[in-house]
Amino acid sequence: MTALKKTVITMENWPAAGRCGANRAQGGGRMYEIRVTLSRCYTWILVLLLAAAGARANEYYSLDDIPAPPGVTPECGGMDFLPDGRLVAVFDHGEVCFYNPTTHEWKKYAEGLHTPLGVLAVSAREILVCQRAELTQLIDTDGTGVADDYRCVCNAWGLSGNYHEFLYGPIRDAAGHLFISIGSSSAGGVARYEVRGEFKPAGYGFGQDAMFSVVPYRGWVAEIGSDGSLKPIASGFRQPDGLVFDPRGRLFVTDNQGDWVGTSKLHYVVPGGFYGQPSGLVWRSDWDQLEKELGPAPHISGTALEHLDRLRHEGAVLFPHAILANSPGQPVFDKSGGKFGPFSGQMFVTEFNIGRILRVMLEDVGGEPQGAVTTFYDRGGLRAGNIRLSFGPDGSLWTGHSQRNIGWPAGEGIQRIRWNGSVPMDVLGLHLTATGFDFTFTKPVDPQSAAAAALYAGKRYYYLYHSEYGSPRIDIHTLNPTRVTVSPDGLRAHVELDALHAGYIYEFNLKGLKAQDGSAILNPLIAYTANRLLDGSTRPIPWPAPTGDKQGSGKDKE
Amino acid sequence: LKASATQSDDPRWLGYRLIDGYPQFHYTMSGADVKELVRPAPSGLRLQFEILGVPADEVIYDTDPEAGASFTSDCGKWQRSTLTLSAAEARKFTITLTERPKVEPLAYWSMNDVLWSSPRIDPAPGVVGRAFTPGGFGRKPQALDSGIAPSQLDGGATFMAWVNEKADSPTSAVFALGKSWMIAAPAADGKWHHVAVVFRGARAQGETWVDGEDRGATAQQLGVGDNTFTVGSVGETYLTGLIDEVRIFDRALPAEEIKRIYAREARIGGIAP
Repeated sequence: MTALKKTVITMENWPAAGRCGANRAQGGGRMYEIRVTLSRCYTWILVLLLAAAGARANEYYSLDDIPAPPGVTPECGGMDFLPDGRLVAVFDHGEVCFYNPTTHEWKKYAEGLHTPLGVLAVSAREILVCQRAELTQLIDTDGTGVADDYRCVCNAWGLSGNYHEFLYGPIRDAAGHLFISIGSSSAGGVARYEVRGEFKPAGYGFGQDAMFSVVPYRGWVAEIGSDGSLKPIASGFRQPDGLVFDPRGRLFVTDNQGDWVGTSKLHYVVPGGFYGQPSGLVWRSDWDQLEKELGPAPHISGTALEHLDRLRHEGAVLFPHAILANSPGQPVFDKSGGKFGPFSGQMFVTEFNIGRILRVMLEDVGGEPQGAVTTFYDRGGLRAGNIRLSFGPDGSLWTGHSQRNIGWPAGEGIQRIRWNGSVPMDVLGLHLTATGFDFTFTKPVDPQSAAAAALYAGKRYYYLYHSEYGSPRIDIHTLNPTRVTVSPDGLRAHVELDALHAGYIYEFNLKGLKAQDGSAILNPLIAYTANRLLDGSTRPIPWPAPTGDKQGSGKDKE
Repeated sequence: LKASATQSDDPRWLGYRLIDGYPQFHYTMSGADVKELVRPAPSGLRLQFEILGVPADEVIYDTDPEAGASFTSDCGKWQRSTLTLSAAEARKFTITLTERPKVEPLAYWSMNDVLWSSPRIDPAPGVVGRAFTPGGFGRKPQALDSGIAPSQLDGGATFMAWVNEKADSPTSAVFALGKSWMIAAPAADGKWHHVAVVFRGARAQGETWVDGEDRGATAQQLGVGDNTFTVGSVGETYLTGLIDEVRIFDRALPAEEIKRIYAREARIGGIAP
């Protein structure tokens, strides 16, 4: 029993995505093999434990395990649905498979791909897949149900051979244009001697332990032209493991905590924007000028750091590290029209390290999106390693899990979450006001529990922008609610605070809040990123000396 | 037909089709459209080419004379290891590769990518590509275990490497087995030298070649056993300097082959004969 306990703890504490040890994945030969083997053992032990317990859920959502395709290691890298309702899933070892949810049958459509991490199902005879080296169009030319033509749509970005050079996407905008994101290279590995694309050592110049970009467009989001050309549109991403367009056609991309990324976040991406991890700046057309402005490498402190801080866009929603997320992946919008519960139109995001799905509530402040994040589904049988989400035609949410082929701690396979029709007690929306926040709820709250000012006495803090790995929470202050007004219908609480400060995360824990029907709040922890206040103020650069405490570190795990 | 040295998208990869389960690769090179179907053949591979739009009179198919396969074709003219086809012939032709067992080394380390655990330490340039630095650059010294033992080489062997030993190196070991068996760098002069030692059997004396020249027999034998050869160190003592292009063959190379390999790599590395 001791050994079993130790095994599970070891899994939970293994490095997060993007923090893999130096020699494990590359150059480490024998050590790598041993660790992968052990990791697989752990995974299977966990799978057996889960199997014994059965997939669990809460009283509002049920959870199903989808059987794995025969003969395929079920490390899922991407999912989408065909117009006929079949699931298309890609797996890390290179397979593309179709699954019929009615007959529960799998069929292999293609194989031999290199770490596919995203799929777009155009039709049963045309599938687009992002694999490591290219965006590939898989065509079934003869109608046999199996792809026989593997066409390279675009491969115009660089590869240094570093193990961490993942490619994410593709997604398509309303006009049909394709978008991808290109992961930065890990300092835990190397650039190979033979690279694809121009080699630019300046891409190493942002810190010894920072991810790097020594070949083109590592750390960028790009559009693929209809002629297959690559149009890089925004830089500064560390591991942008998920892209999505909102219903208004705005592009959102997640990024993973680590060097230069104090905490994981969701970015609102605009063309030409820079989003914080600076290595990829070397591929901007104005890099020569920027390099002069930054001064000698490494560009990690003093005026260079302040310059980068002024240049960057902060995430629209920050996900507090080891509190709500460690490694977010795919975002999706709930377009089920209510089939998936009360959160229609909101965003869900995967969390890799534990079995969790986040829910994001966006609003526009000062003409730009910002907002709040909370948990939506927390453990309850949902496996870790959750990196992909896709809504099925019936409004169920499918989750794809992977340890990503290199021994990271996680689960495997595909699960499905279905709403059972009961409405959970939760925060439906969180809106910044001139003096505080408006909370809206999924169902009428018990006025007594909702009107208590102490319920909203959360805290505010920020994360540092620096080359180090993650950040503690800085300048922590307890919130002081001065007035709470609950609407007569019980669906809204207006909370006034003694002050608001731009640039802070406002974290609330509404544990104790009840609905009028007696049900307790299901997901009490919620964090709002106040990049802009209603009066137009934004965070100061640089921050003044903090007057509050600091807590946590970039290495924390939940 | 030759890929452009300046155009980054030449050759340009277009994808592949599966024909009876075998891949037909599709790419363009110098304006020509190339399809290359790879199928198995007895003891090798068959490459069926279809090259259209050749912007020249001829297509040259160049092969490596040291490769582990022999090349034949169903048309065109061979001159040594080079096949010349007319543009018309290039529209459809087949090249068959037949394996030449043991021609390629049992193990080969280009040293371009091995053992680098940090991009922050610039790998040292070697004769061809990057070199191995067993003594390290102020880092923990690195050992390279070849994984090859004398018992795998009882039909004869050739050890070959480029070495650049510094004057203050505590050892000259390029290859070592235990603490007493060693193939040493020929000079600790901070210059690149090519060293090759040929064993015609477990009990035969080694025949040493330095910079493509015969230096005669040594007293050393290959020996027997299952312990494996290391590269760049003997025990815990590491060579200070650089090692590159390490090969261990499970056959005794003829003199001409050693000279050819030396001459080719010396030319690439800009090393005067």
